[in-house]
Amino acid sequence: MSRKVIQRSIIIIIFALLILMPLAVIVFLSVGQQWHYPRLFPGSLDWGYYFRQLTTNVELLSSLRASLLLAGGTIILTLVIAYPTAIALAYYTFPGKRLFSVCVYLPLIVPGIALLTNIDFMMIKYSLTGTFFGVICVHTLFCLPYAVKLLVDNLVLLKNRYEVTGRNLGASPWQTFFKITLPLSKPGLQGALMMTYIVSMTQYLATLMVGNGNYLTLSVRMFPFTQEGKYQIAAVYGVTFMLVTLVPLFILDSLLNRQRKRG
Amino acid sequence: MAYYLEKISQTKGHQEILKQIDLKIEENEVFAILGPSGGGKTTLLNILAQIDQPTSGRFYGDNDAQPKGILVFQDYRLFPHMTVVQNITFGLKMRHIPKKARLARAAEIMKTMGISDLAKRYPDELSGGQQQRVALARALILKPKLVLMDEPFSSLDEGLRLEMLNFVKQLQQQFQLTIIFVTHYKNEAYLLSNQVAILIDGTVMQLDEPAHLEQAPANLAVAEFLGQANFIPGTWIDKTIKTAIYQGPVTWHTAKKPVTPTLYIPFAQFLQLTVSDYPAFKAQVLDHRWIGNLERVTLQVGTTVLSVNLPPNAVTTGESYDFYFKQLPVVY
Repeated sequence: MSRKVIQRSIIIIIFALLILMPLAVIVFLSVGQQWHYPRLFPGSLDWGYYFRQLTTNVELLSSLRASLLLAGGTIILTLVIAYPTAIALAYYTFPGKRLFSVCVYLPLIVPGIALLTNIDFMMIKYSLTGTFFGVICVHTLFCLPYAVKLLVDNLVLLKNRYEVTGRNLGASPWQTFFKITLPLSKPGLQGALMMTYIVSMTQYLATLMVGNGNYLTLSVRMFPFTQEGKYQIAAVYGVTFMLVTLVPLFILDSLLNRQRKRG
Repeated sequence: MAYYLEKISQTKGHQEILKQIDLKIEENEVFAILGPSGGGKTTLLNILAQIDQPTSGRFYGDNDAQPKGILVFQDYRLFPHMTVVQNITFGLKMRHIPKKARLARAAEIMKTMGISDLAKRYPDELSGGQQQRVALARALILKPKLVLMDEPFSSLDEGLRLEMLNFVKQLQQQFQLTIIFVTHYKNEAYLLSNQVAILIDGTVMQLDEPAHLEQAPANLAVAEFLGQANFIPGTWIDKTIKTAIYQGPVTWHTAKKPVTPTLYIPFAQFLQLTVSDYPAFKAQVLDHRWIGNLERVTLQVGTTVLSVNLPPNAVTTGESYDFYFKQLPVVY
């Protein structure tokens, strides 16, 4: 083995440890028994504990359901807003376009707490607090910058070359959209969908404030447990959270890779 | 039926891309628009393809108020998410032609194009030449009267370029097409077309047959674009010109006598060693190189260096010779 390979392996191992160790701690926390100081590892592992929680813990299951429902709603709302916006930003020139494209990032620039307290105020005014629509609106607000960015990058890459070609060959504007623009945006849409899913799942403060406690998602429930020192149940939530975010991500990624290999 | 471009102008921002283009294109003709990059060729083609709207002017046919040319793009633009056969039948599908009829016509056109075995492939699995054939098939399956081609051969390598050029010629006759194509390679224009329009800076500077274009460019811009010539700056002394290499009578093709004359000496067909009524200059041969059935000879007159094409072995390097113009030299 050459020195280069050894060096690279060491770097990879260090990074793997940095990422995997905290994950391992969470997994051990969720299934470990009698893990007290000064023990380095849990006294015993009860893998069944996690799965028993997953199938019997009503609170956990309702949180999972709430998280997934909100994420689903957010994905739909985000894509409905982000996709036309991205098309406008990528294909058209209009006055104030540069300013507009900067404004898309505002939700990430303005401090979250300032934004949220004011949004909560507005939501109360329009009696949207505690409603499903109100919560997905706030989630959408934080997802839009990522979704728009991913979609614009994808569209700009292709320019409107293929749309122009389609129109010249006789396609109507709608035919062009459904047969050309939409299929070619697939990588961008998949990226935006995944990012929206993750951002929505991780929203804590927004869900709590605007949701009025009606939507106790995984991240909302998890937080108090860690503060109260109930680490095992918090870890169960944590592992569930990781599974429902990582597994779809993995599936989508491998699907995309397979498509690329075809090409 | 003929097609007419009537005073077509295009302005983008403050830039005038096309200025009052007037052209007549006969049916079943291959019409070449030749010009440097950035001269407005692609803009003009986009207008003829109804991709772009002119700021003013109109494009019409004898019995077609709004003719629409099917454009074959320089980069082919095959839809990357569709197979070859899906690409080819795209236009028919958009016109709601039943699948069976679509596939039958696709099979026919693919046979003509020699691409039947590629039907199931995706564009990124094809070579440049194959992509071009697919792009042509995708256009021709629509049975268009007017086909527009944007730099059709510029991305192909030399051998393939000639092959495709002949193939397009053959298709034009077979399908009775009117083809308008733009290029910045004059040889492509000459090989494919009998009528060449020179488009420089958004203006049609000259419309002519290839041979006449080379012999008598309408102005300096055209002459410089066509290249293959020496341009020697000079001054007027009464009716004769004085340059570093030649002093004597000249003529000009432009409407007015040029103010600051430039002596135009194309490499080909202008200078000879045989004595004529128009003695040119005595020059020393610096170099001579084989370029097919002729030699490109580099000459030096005083400090001026120029090139001419001469028959093989007419001169020896290092020797000096008297040169003569074939006819009265031209200035711009």
